[in-house]
Amino acid sequence: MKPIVVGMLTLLLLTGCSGLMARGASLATIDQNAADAATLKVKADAGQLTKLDAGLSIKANADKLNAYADAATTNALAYLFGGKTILCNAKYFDRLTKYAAASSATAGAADAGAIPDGDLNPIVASMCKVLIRIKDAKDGKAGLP
Amino acid sequence: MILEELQAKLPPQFQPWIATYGPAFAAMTTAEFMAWLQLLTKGDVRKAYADLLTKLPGGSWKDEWAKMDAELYADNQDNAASITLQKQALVDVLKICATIGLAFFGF
Repeated sequence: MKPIVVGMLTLLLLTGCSGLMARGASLATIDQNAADAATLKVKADAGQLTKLDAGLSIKANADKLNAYADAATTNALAYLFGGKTILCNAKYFDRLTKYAAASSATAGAADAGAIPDGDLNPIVASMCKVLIRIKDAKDGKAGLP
Repeated sequence: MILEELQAKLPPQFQPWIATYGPAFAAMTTAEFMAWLQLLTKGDVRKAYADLLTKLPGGSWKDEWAKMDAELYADNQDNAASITLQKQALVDVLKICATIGLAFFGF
């Protein structure tokens, strides 16, 4: 009887839980960043960002992605009782760490002028898509291709 | 050391990783590698990964970000499918409970 009750409770607790969850400040920040990214992506897709604006956008997006990685944990106790505000499974944790690292490296490369001008707008557009997809992950949605 | 020599030195399970990250090590000096290794031992994973990506020669950041976007989209599809499965599993269990309840109360 006991294993059935435990199984039922686990099922109830886990039902509908996404591999990436957020609370507190991160909850609103992820939504706001995705909304801002959607607006910026329109300009980047149209190639309307100047070299300077694209560089600044890459840096701003890198700061956002690094903030996610700083707030993320795979430890439920750190999420519930510690200062962490994003709880994710190992796969999403790995992704957030990777995107933070890659965005810092990209911002550094853009700053050093090591990225061809023609690549700047597409990079901003892809970074914006990643920010939107992080919101999709939080909301448990597959999102748009 | 050229990449083919590096591939010959390591077991088969390393081969895909060598193809991706091998060129970064080929572009490092010994001192740079030692500094990179130190980052790793200190646990500064993010900086270590950023440094590794920076060393990838001829790497196109445009392609890297397009790849990262595609992998996250695939992850989100799996995540959404898993949530649907969890919800379905709960509904299935509750259907069984309802059947037991109906039988118990003689409906």
